[in-house]
Amino acid sequence: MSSSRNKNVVLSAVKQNAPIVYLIIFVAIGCLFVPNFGSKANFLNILRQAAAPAVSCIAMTFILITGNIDLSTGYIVSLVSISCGIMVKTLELPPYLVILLCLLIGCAAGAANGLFVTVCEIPSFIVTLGSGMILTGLAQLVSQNTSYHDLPDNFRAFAKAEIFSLPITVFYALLVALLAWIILHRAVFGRELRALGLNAQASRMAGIKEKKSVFITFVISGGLTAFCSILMTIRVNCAQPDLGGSNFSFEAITAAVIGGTSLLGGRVNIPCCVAGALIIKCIESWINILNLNYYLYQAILGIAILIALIADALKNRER
Amino acid sequence: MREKILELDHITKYIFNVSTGRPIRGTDVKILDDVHFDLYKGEVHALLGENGAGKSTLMKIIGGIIPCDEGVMKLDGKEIQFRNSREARAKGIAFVHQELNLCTNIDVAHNFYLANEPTGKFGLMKEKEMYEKSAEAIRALGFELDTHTKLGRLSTAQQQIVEISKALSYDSKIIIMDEPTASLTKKEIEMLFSLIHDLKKRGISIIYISHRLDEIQQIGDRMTVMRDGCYIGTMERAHYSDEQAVNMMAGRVTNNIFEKEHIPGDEIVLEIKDLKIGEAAEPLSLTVKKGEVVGLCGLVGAGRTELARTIYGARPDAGGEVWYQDELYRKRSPGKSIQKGIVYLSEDRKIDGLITAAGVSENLVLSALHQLFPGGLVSRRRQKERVGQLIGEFNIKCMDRDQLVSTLSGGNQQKVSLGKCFAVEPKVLILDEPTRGIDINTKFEIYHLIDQAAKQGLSVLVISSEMAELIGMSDRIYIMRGGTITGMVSDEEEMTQENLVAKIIGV
Repeated sequence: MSSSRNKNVVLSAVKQNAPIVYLIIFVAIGCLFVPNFGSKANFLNILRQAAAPAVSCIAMTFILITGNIDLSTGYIVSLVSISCGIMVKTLELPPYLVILLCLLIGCAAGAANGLFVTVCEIPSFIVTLGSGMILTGLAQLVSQNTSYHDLPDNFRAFAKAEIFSLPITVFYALLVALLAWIILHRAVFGRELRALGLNAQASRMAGIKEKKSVFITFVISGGLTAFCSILMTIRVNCAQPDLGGSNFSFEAITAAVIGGTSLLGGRVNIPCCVAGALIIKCIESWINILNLNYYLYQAILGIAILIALIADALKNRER
Repeated sequence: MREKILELDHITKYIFNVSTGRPIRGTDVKILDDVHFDLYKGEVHALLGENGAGKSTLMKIIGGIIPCDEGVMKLDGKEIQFRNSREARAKGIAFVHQELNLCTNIDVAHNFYLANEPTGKFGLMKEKEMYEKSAEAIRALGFELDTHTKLGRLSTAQQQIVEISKALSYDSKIIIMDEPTASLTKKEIEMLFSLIHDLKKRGISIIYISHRLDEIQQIGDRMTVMRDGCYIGTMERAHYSDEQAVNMMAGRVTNNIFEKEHIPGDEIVLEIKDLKIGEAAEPLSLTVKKGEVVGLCGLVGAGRTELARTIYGARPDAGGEVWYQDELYRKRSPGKSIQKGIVYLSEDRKIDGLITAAGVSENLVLSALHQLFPGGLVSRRRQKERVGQLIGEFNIKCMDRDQLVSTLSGGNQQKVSLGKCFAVEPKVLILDEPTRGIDINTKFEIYHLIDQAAKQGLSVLVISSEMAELIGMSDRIYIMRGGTITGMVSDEEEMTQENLVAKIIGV
């Protein structure tokens, strides 16, 4: 009796954290069949590359949990990146101020999205599609077709240091994940967001302030996306107006959905989201090592999101 | 003339899930119990009964929208069982719904042929024919409508004419009309009645559902009364009287089904002054005292739920004041109400009551999150404590605390809803149909819970369509009709089903 019960507990734990199991499978397959995949250098590389996508994926889950979607994240990344370049190179502002201002730009962009979604009651899908266009136009305008290479060292130091021979960006991503985990899994606010995603009408009746909560998630998401943009800008050492783009938004959504987040809202698991981001980077790494066509990566990403969506749809039948 | 066209015998239907149409596991509540119904050619047969008497369910069975579980249906003497409404329509049974099933943004002709468009070459619609033939069909009823007009621009009565002409175009022999006059003006009603007389002359039979006794007397040839899913009796027009109809609808069993233990106090906790629940509604006033259970009765559409939600702050008012504990309660919202200790149990637990895809625990504490965890962080220990307490108090039967609410029985779901309300330790409870769709045992458990709550000093405003339960629980009962309160009953002697039914209908 007790052994079967333990079995059930293990089984349900596996079910709830399936993306982590998939990640282990993906890594195992890579180690067995892809040469050099299992090397320390490659693992470090994957981690380094995965830090920013993990942050953007967490930013996306904040939006997805209430059943909304943000298609403008990629363009927030672009705008923040180019603003960052202008601020450090042309205006020569001190690094901490630049980072602060960049985060504010992200939050402001998120807040604008949030206002349209909550106050004007326009579906987030169309709001962010439109605002994305505005943001990318804005990014191109301020950049005047230039990008800023060779950012100053004192600015790059923010994301260049290493701790225990691991890049500091990994720790940033872990910190963001921890905070997000506390907010979404342990705080009243997260509980309310999940309730809103599952049944907005019942949640309103239970006294949850829908509009305020949704607005806050957009602001948080915008800020996190800006943070992600800073990490990426420093990593490529170049501030440019096309750093993000629509592919970036799609990657963030894919990682979140592979990580078990439901597009209908209400279902979220932060560790699994991180696993989702890592899975995508694993696939990218295979393709790089095997020297396959990069377009294959995009196709595989498309297939991955479809499989994840089918799995999600099957789960949602219970609702 | 006396040719039986439709006959139903021993029709029984068990309670079912409205969204899936499948029976609900673990319950055997009957919504129709051994019902009999027949219809002659060319007659108007009126169907009477309170809310939830089973009229609509019976009509849905006749119209092929839902199947019956037991019983026989005979059409023209032949046994028949419809699988869907299309089959019923093919056999000449048409349904004119209370909420018209037409599209307001397309024109009359396209509505007339909706999902049945005549097609010519390449499968394209024969537009010209549609406009001409639909105009002809409407003219045949004695009306003139431009079939190019968008349906939304027509009055409700005109829309009804479109629907009826559409029904006739299928060569219908039986037309079911579910409260067709609910939103019509006097003149329009006369128009409809003359149309019904016309149809009768053409040998078409009509099943007419209405709450308005005067209308039924005017056009009904026979009247059948239903109550609590049972067939009560049929009257010929010659023997009809309002009094007898009301008696049959209410039933004789008014002996107290429930012993009250609570005694209402004197202090007024909630006072509604001249509140208007809509722009067109008359202002209404009511009071609820400490430790008092106040009932609110009326037909569906009388504005009971709207009133409850307006007080709670889930919908805006059109003027008037709500006083709570001697203070004017301004800018009401669900969040504020819960903070102040006013909670609302919604009518439909699946839509806006519970989060059925979440577990029992999460649902129970949903309204009380800020109260239970003032720091903003969820403490598992506190949640476990509170949930354990509530599960015990409300006798919720679940496998474990995180069992999904969607997998619970209706009665247990309702107990979770109630538990959620009590979790915030309220002072005023507004309960909207607290016993809808649950078994009799759970009903009594809930009566007891409400009584105990009042005994402890809670003020309860309860909406119910079941007269017996309202009379059993309440100290006073307000009557609502047409968006406002039309009366109040507080004397024990006046609280009878006959009296209330008469007041609700407005005889």
